[in-house]
Amino acid sequence: MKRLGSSSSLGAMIICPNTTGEHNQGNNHVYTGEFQALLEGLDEEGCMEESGGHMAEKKRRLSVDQVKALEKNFEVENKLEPERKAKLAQELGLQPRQVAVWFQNRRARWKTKQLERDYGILKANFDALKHNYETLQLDNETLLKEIRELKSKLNEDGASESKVCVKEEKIVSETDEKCKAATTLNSLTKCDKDASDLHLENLNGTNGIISASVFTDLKDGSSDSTDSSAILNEDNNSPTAAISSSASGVSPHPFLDLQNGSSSSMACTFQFSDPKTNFTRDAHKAYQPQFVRIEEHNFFGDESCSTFFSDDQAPTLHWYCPEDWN
Amino acid sequence: MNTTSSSVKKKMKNKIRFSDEQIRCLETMFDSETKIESKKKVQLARELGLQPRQVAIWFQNKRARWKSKLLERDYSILMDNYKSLASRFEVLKKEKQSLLVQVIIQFYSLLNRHV
Repeated sequence: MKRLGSSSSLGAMIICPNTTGEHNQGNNHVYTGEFQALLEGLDEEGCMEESGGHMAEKKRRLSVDQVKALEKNFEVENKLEPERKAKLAQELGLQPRQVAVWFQNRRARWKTKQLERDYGILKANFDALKHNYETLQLDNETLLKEIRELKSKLNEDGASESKVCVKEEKIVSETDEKCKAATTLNSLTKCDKDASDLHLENLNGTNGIISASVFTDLKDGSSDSTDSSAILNEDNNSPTAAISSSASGVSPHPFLDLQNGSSSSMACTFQFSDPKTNFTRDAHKAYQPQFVRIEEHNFFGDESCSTFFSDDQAPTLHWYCPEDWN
Repeated sequence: MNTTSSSVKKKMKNKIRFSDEQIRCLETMFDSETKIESKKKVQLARELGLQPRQVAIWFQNKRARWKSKLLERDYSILMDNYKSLASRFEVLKKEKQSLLVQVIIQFYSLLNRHV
């Protein structure tokens, strides 16, 4: 006895009106022909009053036109004030109370739908974030491995530096290592997706505001991007040297490649824990210049890393390192 | 107790509220199963002095309200999870930045050996 929309199922109900006296008295049931129309007149979700006790003729379904007009009105403004109510009631030939009740119900239905929609969005965002998180975890593992390998290489070097031929071998093998590191770096310095990449539609209610604030935090982790501590460009304006700024106009971070067209401005600031190596824009002037001229877009081009060590070809990367770099 | 109204025309004065006892019984039945079979419905209706249809409709409305509550709760849980994941993500991001720095330092150190 669920959604009683068909008259055939109702027929059975109407068969025995007034069979039990107490039912009549208690609940005011009047099983008339109009009751059938009443029962048919369940709203879309099939909800009806719990009591079920009412005069049949009082309960009639709204016409399609009436509903259309109400819906249209609802779209404009979902809260009703007295003038609008009276006006609508008059226009549609309804009681003001009916209009009020309709709006009340409609708001309740809308709230539920909105919640469903919000939930769907949040779920999608969550799944995307989870995916990005896992990707990031893998990246970090890769980097950690790379660091270890480079470190071990470094240690090996220390032992055999004096021997020329061995040194040459080392150079060759290190070239591979470095190219590997370079390509790793290349791929991993591409801008991370972050939570702000997710297109968060405006969530209903306060939740939307909370979410928005979460994401603005994530979007720009630093307000101090101007004093980025990093290996610096000598000349930011130089076309060859400049790292392309991110689309959002974060000041160039030579260290981390911000690809053009990347939608998210990942704030790439980081502090060197060792004060000696704290390269700020100002500090570099006092300090010995340690500039890395970084070619556009790629920290290490896949091809260019092979030019690092050849004498004939000018490497695309120039750097000057004082002794105490090491 | 709040009743859900329908979009159908009605007069409020004819609405009947169930007694607390009736509601308590209905809620108990609902807790064990959200959908009630025909036989049980008839029996329950008899016990409570209600029409079977009333019981049916009560269950119908109850399911709708219950579904809403569930959704609200799930949303709130998901939001908490999201926020915590987002902050962990941010931590990881910073970690990656520092690792990148380390790689590059090592890299340069290595290159320096043969300059």
